[in-house]
Amino acid sequence: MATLTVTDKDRFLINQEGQDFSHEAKTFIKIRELALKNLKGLDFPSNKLEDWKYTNLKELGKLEFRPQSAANIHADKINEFKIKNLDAYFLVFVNGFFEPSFSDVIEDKESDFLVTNLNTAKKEFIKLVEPHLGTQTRAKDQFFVNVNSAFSQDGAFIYVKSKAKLDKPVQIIHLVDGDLVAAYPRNLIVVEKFAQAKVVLTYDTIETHSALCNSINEVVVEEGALVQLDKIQNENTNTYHISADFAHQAKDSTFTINTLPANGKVIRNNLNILLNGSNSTANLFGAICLNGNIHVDNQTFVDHAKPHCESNELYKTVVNDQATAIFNGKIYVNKIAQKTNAFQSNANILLSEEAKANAKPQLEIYADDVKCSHGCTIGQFDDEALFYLRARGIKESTAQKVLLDAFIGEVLDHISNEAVRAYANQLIAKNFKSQFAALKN
Amino acid sequence: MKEEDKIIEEATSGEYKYGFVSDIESEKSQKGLTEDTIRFISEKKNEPSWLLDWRLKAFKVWEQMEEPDWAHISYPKPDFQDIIYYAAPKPKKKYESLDEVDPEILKTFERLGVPIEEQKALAGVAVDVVMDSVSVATTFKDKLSELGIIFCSFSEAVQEHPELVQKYIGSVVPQRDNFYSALNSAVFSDGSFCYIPKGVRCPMELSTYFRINEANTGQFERTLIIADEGSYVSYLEGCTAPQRDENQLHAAVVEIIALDRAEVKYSTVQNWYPGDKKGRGGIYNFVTKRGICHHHSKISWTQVETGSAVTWKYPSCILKGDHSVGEFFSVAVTNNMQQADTGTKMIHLGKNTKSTIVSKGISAGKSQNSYRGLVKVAKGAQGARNFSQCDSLLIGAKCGAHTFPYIECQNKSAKVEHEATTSKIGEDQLFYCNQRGIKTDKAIGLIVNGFCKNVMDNLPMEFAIEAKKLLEISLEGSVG
Repeated sequence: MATLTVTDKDRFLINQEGQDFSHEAKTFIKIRELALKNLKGLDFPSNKLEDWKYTNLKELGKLEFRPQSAANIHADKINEFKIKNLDAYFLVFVNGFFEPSFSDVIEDKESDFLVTNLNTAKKEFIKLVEPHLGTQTRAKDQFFVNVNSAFSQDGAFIYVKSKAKLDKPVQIIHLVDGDLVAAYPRNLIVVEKFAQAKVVLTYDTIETHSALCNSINEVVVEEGALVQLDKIQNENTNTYHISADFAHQAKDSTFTINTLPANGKVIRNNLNILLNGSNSTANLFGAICLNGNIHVDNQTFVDHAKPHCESNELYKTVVNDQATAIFNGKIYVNKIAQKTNAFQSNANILLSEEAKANAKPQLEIYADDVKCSHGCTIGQFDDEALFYLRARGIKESTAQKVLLDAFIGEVLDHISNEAVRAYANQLIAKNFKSQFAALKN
Repeated sequence: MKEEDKIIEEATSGEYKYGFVSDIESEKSQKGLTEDTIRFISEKKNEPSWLLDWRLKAFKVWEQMEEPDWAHISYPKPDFQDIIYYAAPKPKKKYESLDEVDPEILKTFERLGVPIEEQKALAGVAVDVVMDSVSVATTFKDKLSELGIIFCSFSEAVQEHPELVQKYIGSVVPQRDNFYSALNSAVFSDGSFCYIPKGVRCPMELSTYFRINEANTGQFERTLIIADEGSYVSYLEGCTAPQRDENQLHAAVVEIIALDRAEVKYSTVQNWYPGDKKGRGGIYNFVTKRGICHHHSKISWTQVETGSAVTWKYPSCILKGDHSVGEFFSVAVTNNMQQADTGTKMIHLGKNTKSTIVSKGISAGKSQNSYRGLVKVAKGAQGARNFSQCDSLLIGAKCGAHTFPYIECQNKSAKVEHEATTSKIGEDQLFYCNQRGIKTDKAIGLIVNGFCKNVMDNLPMEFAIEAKKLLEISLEGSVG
């Protein structure tokens, strides 16, 4: 008798169905349909794919994740996730759904900027959303990008009119609550010509034994615009987080993204930066301090499509316990992108016997008048530096902390907002508390 | 057109000077690959049955494998049934001295500048000459055998030292290692064999010269080097081929075994026919080279890659023994339509193992040059140390230079460093030279030679001169 085998992919996709998107405008339904069509030709990611060589999703494929709406949550609970001392607009999402009662919404058509949820924007500001939504997701062949495109529930929409400046940063809080939740937040940030915006993205969990957060951030940086994105992932150790960030830069623009994966089970970040106008600058920074069993996979792709652009990339990693850190950075220089300056640096420190670090810094260059470099190191804290501090009567745990702060500080310095930087420092200190406590003396 | 562009244009006019065909009668197998072909080769070579079985096993594995396509190269896939797998210069018999070798063959090698005549003893190089993958002459045999060094063709080794061959063949590159190594294992026709006994320091450079002569043939040679405890050998390999419009396949395997405290230095100057300006013809060079290091031993790969239409080659070291050392020095030059995807693998298994990688890529014309490497530190490799440096130089706006390094580290006491840069020849450097009366093409030559210097310095002297000349020919016009 022939047995019917249900693949991980089929089961996964069947579980995502049942959401009703029919109320959406045709143009948005088309995006979902296209993604579903793309998914037909794609396999569930396995280690056989070069992109997933170091990250195994076998376990994820066996779990029955489903989109679920969140139960009622008390306001006090939500406040815990607001960054302390941060003067900002807050947007709160739980399991991918918008929580307007906890959010600061700015929907005034006369205002210089809009801060709202994507579903509202899809109805009220269709002219602003339509040209950008889904056009940034160039990764047709990425499974989880298409899953999000097909099933995303909601997300933030931030729009800054040309020459305007968002007066306060926006903190977008994405929470997961409940077991076997599949959340698909999708944020769209549009910053028009010569405008400025700062956005802080935080991903946390309220309570779950197993969850999947598959997020997409699309950022449109128009001519001369300035955008900074701080992304802090602090979910619990039962949560898978697979995200893709797309930035599309026009000429003279600057885009900075600080990635800080602190906690989770498996975290995978795909950064795709397209420098599509001359004289634009992209900055990619990552501070990765890992403990426990966490597996963090950072993939970055910087596409230099136009001449005279610059990209700076610095990823620093400290790995403790049984954690694994992966860095896969690619710089692609198109043949017309002369006078490109592209720099990439990845430094890893292994603290424990079981810690692992894999790196694959790549350069693909088709133009000749360029300056491109990458560097990658794996090592330990410098014994001599440690000795220097110890000789001055500083105890070992403090000395290690000093070296750690110095190492990671170089990245954290790029987070411009003090409150956010303090929060990042606090998360890192918490992760290594046990490490330093164990040293005692 | 700018002056600089003109010079770069001229670079493409460099002619391949080894493109002649020698009129030597040869004995060939039928086209195509079946079990019968393998039996035919094995029978021709009068091989023992274990080797035939070994070949057939490799063939079975190969049949189930797919040609790899992960490399950053694109080329029409060779039709494996349209290749002649065995071609030997005729008449095939044992040569007692060089006088008996076909003068046409000697003439060929004279034109190549290979010192196979004994009177060139002063050159101090013992040469094993392999033509269309059959060894035709080995020099200095007697002198070497006094020291107990075995240096002969692979088929001779199979007849005379079967115990060594059987013990080590496939021990570093197993049959199922990859598509081309499996193919080579099934059909290899000859190659070089070298054994250095315990504690012996080989007094001269050992050298193999490979030459493809026949049309439609593939060259599949296999080199096996065994350096016993405490021994030292420096080994050179050179290769050329005639100019033909169709692509020819070269799939070789090199295995090096460095036992405790042994040191092996393996240098290659690869100058297969690279094809013409439009990318017609040229050799597909798909080579598997790997060495295994036991305790306190060292393997050093040095390569200068200027030829071949497509190169796919990753000389590697398995640093199995504690305190073993692996080195890789490479200059890869691509011009016209050439494509190269080359690099190394350093697998650190033993404690306090060290590896150094220095790779210099130069792309000109419309060529694509990639470095692909792996540095792996296994869990038990306490105190492992690696330093890698990959620099690329771009000459002209139509070429590409790429770097794909893989770094995997599972030991906290390991130190791994990797750095890479890509740039073009600096206008300020050129200006500096011009200002001092050095013409632009001479200046480019100066800068390129400086760029490659720390790799060239690792080549044995005779080879370094040849390599420098090759570099000049490959980039003629722009490099002088």
